Amino acid sequence: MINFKKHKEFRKRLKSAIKKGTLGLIDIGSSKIVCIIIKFSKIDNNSKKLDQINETSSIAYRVVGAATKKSIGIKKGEIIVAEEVEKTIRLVVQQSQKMAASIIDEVVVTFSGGSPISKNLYQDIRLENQSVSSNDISILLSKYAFQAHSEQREILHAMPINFSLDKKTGLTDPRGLIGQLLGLDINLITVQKNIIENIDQCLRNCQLNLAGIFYSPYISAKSSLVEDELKLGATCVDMGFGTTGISIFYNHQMVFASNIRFGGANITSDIMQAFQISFNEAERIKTLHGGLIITNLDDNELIELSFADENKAYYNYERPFISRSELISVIRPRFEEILEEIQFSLEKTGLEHLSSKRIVFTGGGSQMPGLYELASEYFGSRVRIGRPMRVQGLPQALQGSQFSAIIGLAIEINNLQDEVWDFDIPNSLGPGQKIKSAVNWFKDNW
Amino acid sequence: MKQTKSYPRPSKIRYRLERVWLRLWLRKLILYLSLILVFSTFCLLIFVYSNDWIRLKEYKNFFNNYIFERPELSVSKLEIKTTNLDLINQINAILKLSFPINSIMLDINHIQKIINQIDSVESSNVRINDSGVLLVEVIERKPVAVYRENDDLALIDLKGYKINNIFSRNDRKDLPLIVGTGGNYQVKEALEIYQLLSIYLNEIRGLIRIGERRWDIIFKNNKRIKLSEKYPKRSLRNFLSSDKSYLISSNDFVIIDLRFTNKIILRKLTEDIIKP
Repeated sequence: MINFKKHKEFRKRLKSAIKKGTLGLIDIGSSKIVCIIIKFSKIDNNSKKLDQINETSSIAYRVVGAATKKSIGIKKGEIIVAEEVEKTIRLVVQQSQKMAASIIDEVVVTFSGGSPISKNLYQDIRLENQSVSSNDISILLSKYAFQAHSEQREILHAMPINFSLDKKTGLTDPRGLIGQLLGLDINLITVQKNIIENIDQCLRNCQLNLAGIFYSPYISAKSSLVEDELKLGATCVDMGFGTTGISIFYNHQMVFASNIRFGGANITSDIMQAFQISFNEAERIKTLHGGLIITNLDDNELIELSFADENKAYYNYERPFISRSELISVIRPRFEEILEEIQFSLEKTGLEHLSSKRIVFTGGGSQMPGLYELASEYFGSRVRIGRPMRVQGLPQALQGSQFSAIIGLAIEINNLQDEVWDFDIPNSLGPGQKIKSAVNWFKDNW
Repeated sequence: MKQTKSYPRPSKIRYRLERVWLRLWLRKLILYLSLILVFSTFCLLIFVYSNDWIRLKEYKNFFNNYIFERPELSVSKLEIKTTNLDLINQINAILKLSFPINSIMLDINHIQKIINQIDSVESSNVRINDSGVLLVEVIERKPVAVYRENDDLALIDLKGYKINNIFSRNDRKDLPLIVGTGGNYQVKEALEIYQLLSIYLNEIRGLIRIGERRWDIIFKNNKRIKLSEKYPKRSLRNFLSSDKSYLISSNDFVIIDLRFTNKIILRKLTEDIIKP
């Protein structure tokens, strides 16, 4: 049985950071790296309450520092130049520390790279018509083949999503109920090996401790989906710069997550190639004049192209202007492709009966005008353009939907989801191990 | 990558230094250390120069010259605004000031207190005016009566304060005489009784307070009028305005007793009484 040593270490750091009061959150995205610092205020002096952070206890928190910078060395969510990423993290952390006037040691990261795979596992055990105890759950968890999954790849999330007892299903806490067959669904998200190690190394070079790593489609759904959507089931589409993340929620649990390796960067490079302009200029006209629905007026609206380097070969002397309809006709096919990909991957999940409820678009790409109309054609009228919730103290500039991941991280930290490593190990310990555990207990508490 | 143009970002050393500098305890430590350093150097300097006391004295003289002995602050003379020469001499003798003097050294409240302690002064006002003169304005007590107690004759004012002693009654014949314990506390009443008897003023020797409760009027021919305890003025006024007022000038009676409201008791001095 894999013992999730690394993940337990992360949890310990996170709890100690919350106890200390300050925690840094970093979103390592393809277009930008965002860092916010949140400060927790103690509601209760009773320190027992802080230990029980996994149970639905919420602590008052407030954003005290925030900084965002364009990322260098990240392509499609993957770190390709570690040193550049390190430098950018250093800058972002430095600026937000200056704003907060305090330093951070523990950092929680959200990340969309590593070609994650979401898998649902099911295991069950027989009980002898007795009430379910936490020990039974531990034994059940020990039966999962985590070892096999963690050999080729690395486990990022392992969330228990659904308990079932005999023919009852949809239980959140089966302890105390009497039954014969206890089953548990686990949503396992694995990423490529050494992804966590790489990020940890980057942060260690910045004198920061990694206190947890979260998958960004899951996190941005937490900030964009409202309570009813989480309960009844909804799909959140996080349209990022490098990748587009999909996460399906049902009954407050994420049942599926996926990544499409298309994003805003593809649209920008399409524009760059179509009009022979620089990448930054293409990005500029995409964000300022981009759209998805052509109207008659758009033929007359001319967009002036400015060239950063006038002597370059791709300078087009004859056409310094393009019309907006031309721009839209470049953007729209790529967007349609992305939507088709989303549709395809949703079909592939086999969760249509869950995900048919609602589709919420968030992330920077969702700000494209006309997305609602276009997406409605694909998915029917169940589409909503989501904006992230409010977090206390967050600057106005960071409240757009492109920051839904980092805001979701702040919300998630406040109310942590139980993962497999939060449960106890089965205590079938021999006499020698008992002494060892006692020594460990002393070590932990003093 | 084409799109990722680099921009300035902090180096590792600078990042670490800033993180160190953001630690609050370190800032406090540096602050306290610098304070201690400044203080200790100050102490050290004093210690080094403390053997050279003469130099310190020079400094002290210099500061004295510089701060205290300025013409703006010096007081040149004392001016006492009163006509009583004795009082002027008395105040001069008490204060013992030698001019010029520094106004910072003068405690005006203390001077006023001292002057107010003089018997003949009712109140005073002490200040230093613009031209460097210490002004003392004195309101004297006015003697209104002569008070005899245990063979001492003293002048008293309306409130009964003793102003000063006199040697003989003849010195202040113009003032009425009050005798008896507690008489000095009822000076106002005594004066009002005198006023009622203004016709007989030359014949009166004085008023006696008896038992600290009532007045007796003594005439020169040893005649005596006993006034009532509660309403001495009213009984006297009634008596004077009545047809029996001639009794004062007659020599037949020694004591006229007005102590009772509805009757006058007369006492005759006869041979029988003197010689039993």
